[in-house]
Amino acid sequence: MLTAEGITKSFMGIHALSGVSMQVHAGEILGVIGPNGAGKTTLFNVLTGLYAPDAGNIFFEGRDITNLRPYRRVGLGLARTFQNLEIFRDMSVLENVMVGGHVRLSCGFWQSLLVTPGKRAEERLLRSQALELLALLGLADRASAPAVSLSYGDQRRIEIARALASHPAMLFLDEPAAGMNPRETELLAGLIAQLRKDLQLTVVIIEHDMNLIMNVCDRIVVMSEGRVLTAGAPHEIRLDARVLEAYLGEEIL
Amino acid sequence: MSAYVFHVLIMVSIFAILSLSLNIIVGFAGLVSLGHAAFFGIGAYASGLMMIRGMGFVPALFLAGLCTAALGVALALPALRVKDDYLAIVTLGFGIIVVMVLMNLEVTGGPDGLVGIPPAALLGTPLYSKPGFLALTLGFLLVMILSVYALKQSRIGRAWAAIRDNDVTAMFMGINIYYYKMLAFIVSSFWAGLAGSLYAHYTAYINPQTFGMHTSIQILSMVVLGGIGSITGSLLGAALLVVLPEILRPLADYQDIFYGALLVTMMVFRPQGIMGRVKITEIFGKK
Ligand SMILES: Nc1ncnc2c1ncn2[C@@H]1O[C@H](COP(=O)(O)OP(=O)(O)OP(=O)(O)O)[C@@H](O)[C@H]1O
Ligand SMILES: [Mg+2]
Repeated sequence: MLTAEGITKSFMGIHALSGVSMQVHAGEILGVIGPNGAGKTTLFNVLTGLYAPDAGNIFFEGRDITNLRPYRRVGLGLARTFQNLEIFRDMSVLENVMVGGHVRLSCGFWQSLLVTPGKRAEERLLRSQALELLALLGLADRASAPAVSLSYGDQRRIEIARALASHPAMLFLDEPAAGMNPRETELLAGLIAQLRKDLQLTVVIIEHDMNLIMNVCDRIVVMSEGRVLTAGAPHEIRLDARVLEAYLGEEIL
Repeated sequence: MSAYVFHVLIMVSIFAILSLSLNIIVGFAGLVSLGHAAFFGIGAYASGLMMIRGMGFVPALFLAGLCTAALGVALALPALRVKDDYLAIVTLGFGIIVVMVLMNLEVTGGPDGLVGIPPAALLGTPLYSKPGFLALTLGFLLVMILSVYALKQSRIGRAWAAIRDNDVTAMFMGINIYYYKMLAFIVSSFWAGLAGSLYAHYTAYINPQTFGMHTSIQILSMVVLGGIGSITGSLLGAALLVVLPEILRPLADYQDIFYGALLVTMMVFRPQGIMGRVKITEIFGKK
């Protein structure tokens, strides 16, 4: 469904990604793991269009999207959350999620200006769907609260609801469990599995919480120092000597 | 009511259109603009020149709005390609250049300005009376408030708010940030041009100095004082900063001191303005 070939990206001499090739298959939950600084977030940033790679290509459903602007990729069905929470700070929880539905609305300038019946119907639908998403994420009772007033864990959930509001085909989650307690993390794991089942969503997830990764992922890509170290099913990764070595000194598995 | 009161009210409504229009750029989309009076001037000159050459008031008014919007696009095309930091410099430069051009062109009358601009006229009847002209400006202000409110409450207003909040994140909401920033400039400059046209036909005489830096700062102060992003704030800001200098006229020598002190006090004690939620520092201190 998504293929990256030989992606290279460096920042002023730092080789964040050196020739990364990987694939995401339709309908799978793919984990991306690796020590700090391995290049996981940079890979997401290149796949979703924040940075153009220095070399390499990205194909989504057969189409070359290497140089497509981020907003166009969202239109194609890619949505993401952010490692460093990036909720809209001046908005309520509900407004945040409604912004996420931007690409699904068709009202342009004149319909908005003239408040046409079509525009109003579209807004009502967006609002009710946003509320449904908040209910799914367990945030229904916080809909009108300022988004910044919520805990980190809840803000992560706002970001997930906001990403889902665009009705994506593929969802990129960058450390969604960071800031969540074990119980919340467990609920999140259940939710991710449910989303894949109910919405036929393909999920790519970066996470340091190995329990979450091992429980929900069908396949795992291990990164280290800007390269793909190995990829495979969770039980293969768990026993891979190279993975243990990359994490040397960190007791994670 | 005396003619003087009507005069002040007309100036309040013209400046309310201006501050509300600037608020679209600064308050809604979160962009910096320091040369807004240039749009005001372009509208005034365009309309004045067209009517002097025999065009009717209504077509001249709307054409002036469209001409100004076209210049808004011409400014925004390069300006929006640079980082937001430079937008301050680009818009400042634009404001200066427009005044220079108006000063030096022959058609615009140079530093002497344009004289003998025909009055506004509706259905062939010239509007000489102040109450009549006030009704006209208030009518436009009302239409503007409704349309700006409609945009604010729409997908477009949400996209602007997202861009103001964090334009990188906004891109990942599928928002074409370049298009929406451009749209803010177009809508804003259209209304500023219309305000210019109303002003030109009200005063019958315009000169370049009216549309310089001083006026740009004045309009920006109205937005900031009233509250960035707030519609009622812009109206209130315009009313206060048109009326207060009139009241303080006997103290004309100290007027600028008062004016400066007011803004500094606001910045310290209520940086989000009287009605606003967003602080000025969030717009001007944005990375
Ligand atoms: N915008 C940037 N400018 C400069 N250097 C960057 C930038 N983004 C990433 N890097 C560098 O690239 C390398 C990879 O960073 P990246 O954030 O992708 O790692 P990561 O695997 O997500 O790590 P973590 O688990 O800590 O989130 C790091 O050395 C980082 O400092
Ligand atoms: Mg990261």
